[in-house]
Amino acid sequence: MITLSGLSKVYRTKEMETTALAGVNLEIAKGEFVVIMGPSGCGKSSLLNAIGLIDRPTSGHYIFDGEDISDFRENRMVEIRKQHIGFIFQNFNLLEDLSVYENVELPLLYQEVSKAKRRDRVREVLELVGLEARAKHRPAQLSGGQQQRVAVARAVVGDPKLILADEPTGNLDTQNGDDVMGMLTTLNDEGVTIVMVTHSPDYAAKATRIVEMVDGRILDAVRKAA
Amino acid sequence: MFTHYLTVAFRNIWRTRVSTLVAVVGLALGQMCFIAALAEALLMTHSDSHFAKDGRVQVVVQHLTITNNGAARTLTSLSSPWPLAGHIANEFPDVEAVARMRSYGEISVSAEGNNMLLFTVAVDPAFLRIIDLPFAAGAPQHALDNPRSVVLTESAAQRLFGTTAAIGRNVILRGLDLTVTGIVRAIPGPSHLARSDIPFALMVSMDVHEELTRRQTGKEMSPQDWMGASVRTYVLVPQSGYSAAVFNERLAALVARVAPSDLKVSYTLRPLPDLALVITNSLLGRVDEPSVPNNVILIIIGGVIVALACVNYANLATAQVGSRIKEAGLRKAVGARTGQLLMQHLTETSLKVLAAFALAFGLVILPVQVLTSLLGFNIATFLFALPVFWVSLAIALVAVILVAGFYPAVLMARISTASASRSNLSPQDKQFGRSILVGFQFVVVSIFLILSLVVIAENKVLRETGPKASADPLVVISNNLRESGVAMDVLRAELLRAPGIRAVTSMQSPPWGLATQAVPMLFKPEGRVSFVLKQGVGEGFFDALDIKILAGRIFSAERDQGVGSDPTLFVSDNVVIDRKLASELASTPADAVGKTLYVANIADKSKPPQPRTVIGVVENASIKLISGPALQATVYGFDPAAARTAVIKLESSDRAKSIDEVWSKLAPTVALKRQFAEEIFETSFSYFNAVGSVIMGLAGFAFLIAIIGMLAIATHTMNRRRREIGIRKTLGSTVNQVTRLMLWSFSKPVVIASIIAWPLAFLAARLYLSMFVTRAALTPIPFVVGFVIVLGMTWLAVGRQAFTAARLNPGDVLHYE
Repeated sequence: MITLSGLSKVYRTKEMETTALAGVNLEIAKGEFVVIMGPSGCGKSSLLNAIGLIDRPTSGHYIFDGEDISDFRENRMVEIRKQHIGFIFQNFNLLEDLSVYENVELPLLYQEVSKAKRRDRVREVLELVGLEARAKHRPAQLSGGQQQRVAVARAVVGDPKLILADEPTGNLDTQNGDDVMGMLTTLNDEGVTIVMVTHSPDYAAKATRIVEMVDGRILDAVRKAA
Repeated sequence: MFTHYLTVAFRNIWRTRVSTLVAVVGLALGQMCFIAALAEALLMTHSDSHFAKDGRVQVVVQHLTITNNGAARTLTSLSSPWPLAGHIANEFPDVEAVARMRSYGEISVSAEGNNMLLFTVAVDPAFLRIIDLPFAAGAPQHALDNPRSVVLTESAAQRLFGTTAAIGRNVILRGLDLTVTGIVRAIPGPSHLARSDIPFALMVSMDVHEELTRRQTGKEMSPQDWMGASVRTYVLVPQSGYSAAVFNERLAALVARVAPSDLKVSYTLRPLPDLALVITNSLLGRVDEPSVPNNVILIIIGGVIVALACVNYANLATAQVGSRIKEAGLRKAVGARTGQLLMQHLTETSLKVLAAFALAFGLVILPVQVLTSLLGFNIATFLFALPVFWVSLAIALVAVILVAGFYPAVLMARISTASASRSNLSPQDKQFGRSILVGFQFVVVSIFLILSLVVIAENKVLRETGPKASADPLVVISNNLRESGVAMDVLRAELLRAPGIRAVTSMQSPPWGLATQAVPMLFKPEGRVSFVLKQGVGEGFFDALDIKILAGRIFSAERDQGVGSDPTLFVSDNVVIDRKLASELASTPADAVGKTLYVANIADKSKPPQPRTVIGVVENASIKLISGPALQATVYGFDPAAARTAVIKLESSDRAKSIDEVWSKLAPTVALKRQFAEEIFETSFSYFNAVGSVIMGLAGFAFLIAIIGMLAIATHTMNRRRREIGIRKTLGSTVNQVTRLMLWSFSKPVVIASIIAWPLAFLAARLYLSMFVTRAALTPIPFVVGFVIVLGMTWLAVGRQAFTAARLNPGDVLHYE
């Protein structure tokens, strides 16, 4: 589903250059649950951003669903992102001005889905994450675990092929962390490809593959999760 | 999607309601200025539109091209020669009607024992077929068809007869018995016939003017008199097939054929609604056909203020973008396109602009309702009926939305998707953009502020050179002596015999009035023409006005009476000049005596310049306020015939009764129109005071907008720099050092803006001062004071936040960060 070859990302300022990704080669098959691990600053989030098309690599090739999208224009990348990719962030990134319902509805709005279909689908995913009763609440009125469940609902509402999760359990207690992991595992079982960054070996163990990174590179030895 | 934009916009507005309020108030202040300027500009360009008959009513405009100091200028006026209307009527059969108007100003009129001054005009009968006056009684189009007829306004009828039912009653004007044949109501809209230009109370048939002229001069009005009495000529052009260009060509050919060959002027037709623009130009001394009309200048000034408010808004919104980076990044991550984010931000801006517009509209339109009774028509109703008013507002609204909202919207839309996973970061180009925006605001503020200070200085100079409170009071009789049947020498002799009167003289136009005469002069026969202020005076002028003699002699009736080879050019062969003019001729006033000046004939350059001999030099006297394009120097000529304004010096103000007694003896049927010179000065000064108030008001508005913006920016910036301040303090910086650092960061754009503003303000100030005879010196003081005020106010606006931020506990700041 995803093939990255020689992908690099260099951040430049007037004073210095920082290499976040240094010629990454990686293949992710459809239906995989891939976990990326590594020390802080090794390029995990940069890799996730590159896979999610929210940051353009400096060089290298990115093939998504058999199509080389490395040189795609911004609008085309937006189309791929909104049709096929869902995001979950460590700090939830819910919009404070919008209700739970409206936060989840947002991707469908940008996909220009009709109002009736949006309503049905949002209710469906809110039920899935157990937050249908909280639809009118604002994010600030929810606990951290509930907020992350809203983020999961928002990630899946558009029915994406790929979910990218950047330390989705990093700000949660064990119980909520387990709940979120349970949801991701269920999604993976249903055929959704998942790429997740985490520091937790326990959660990494639930993946089908673990990719380890150091200094912007993927270690040669890619272990298969136990 | 639009519902989503609206929802998000409303919520964001509510969440940031304080800064939204600041932004909306700033925009409202700017839009207020623009709406007011637009309203005034439309009043100028749509004045008399209710009389315009779809552009068919036209007025003849005269163009006279002269060369002043080597530069050619075309002076435009509404005067046209007496015979022109007759030629147009005879030779242009397609023209439906032509009529002349002769204005008398306020003259003495009596009826049934009531004697009063009323503004009077004489018109041809056809005038009423060209201009559809709102008749309350009488035959609307034929009220002036019979000789000796008069049409009164309702208010004039009320004053003269105590009732508006005055048809058939008699009015006496300079001994002529006239019959009231029509009564007109107040004109229902802005019109040159209603207020400043021709606020007529009486409109008499033109035969009255012809009879009065016959009585005064002993001659008939001549159809060949192209150089004599001037009138205003109104033309009703055909309903179809009229082309201004073609008509003006025909008019030029007609004038070339029938007018004397030495008439070096041209005539064109202008639509009636343009009249207000020509009149305003004349009031402001812009007698050239200005390349930028006054209505456009007004719109530009309003536009600059609203642009300032837009920049202020953009600045605030740009600062807020910093706190919305995550939101924008996230929206992009979940599928928003750049255009959608742009639209979302512009929707928010639109709501704020509309709120500001509603506030501004109310604040401008509601107060003008108060003026309805004063003006005789409702400005709001007039404006609302003009499609151009609404179209202009709609265009302005769209422009404001784009100017105010586009830059922050682009910043918001350009935020990278990756920002969703980062903390609040500023876009790279935001700081520079904001500095430019702040700088622009303060450039405008500085210019207005410096200009205000220059206006204050000039007003002070005008006050100082006005009639002195300590001197003997001067009284001016504004009645036209010849038309009142009073000879100046008789009046002078009678007044000098009356108690309490120290001196009596006469001059061409009232001292300290706005009317100024200039004469084209050459200092050598082949030299360049310079316009010099001209004052025709009568006997005893310099003594009565306390003007000191520096060298030579002043005029005397015995030696200078009757001298003057060409009275159409200037008054006498001998002239007295002031110190300024003397300095152009010789190194000392004494050396200037005996020198020759030359009067140029600008209408006919083939005529040689006329020499004039300087017989005396007097001290500079500021008895006129405006010099216009003329030099600030004066030449005096002895001209008792032209000097028809009597000026009387009294022992004390209560001695003015003596003048009343003498006048009632000499002209018992003519109401005396007299004013103290201080009153004339105050009336003239009120114009400049008003100009000063407008500029100071604009400066105030601009200042308020900029300071509001600066205050909001300061609050934002301080919040953003809390971490930096915490780190600086941890590293050993003191509260004072941090405060100074913060103040300097806000002062930098203000300092740069002031430096940019200075040359622009200098040019604007010089242009303003060039209007006056006596000018305030353009010193560095207004520039320095302006800078100190701007910087001081900036520090006051941001000082508290800077100090509060500097006192933050670094531990708290760094902990929360």
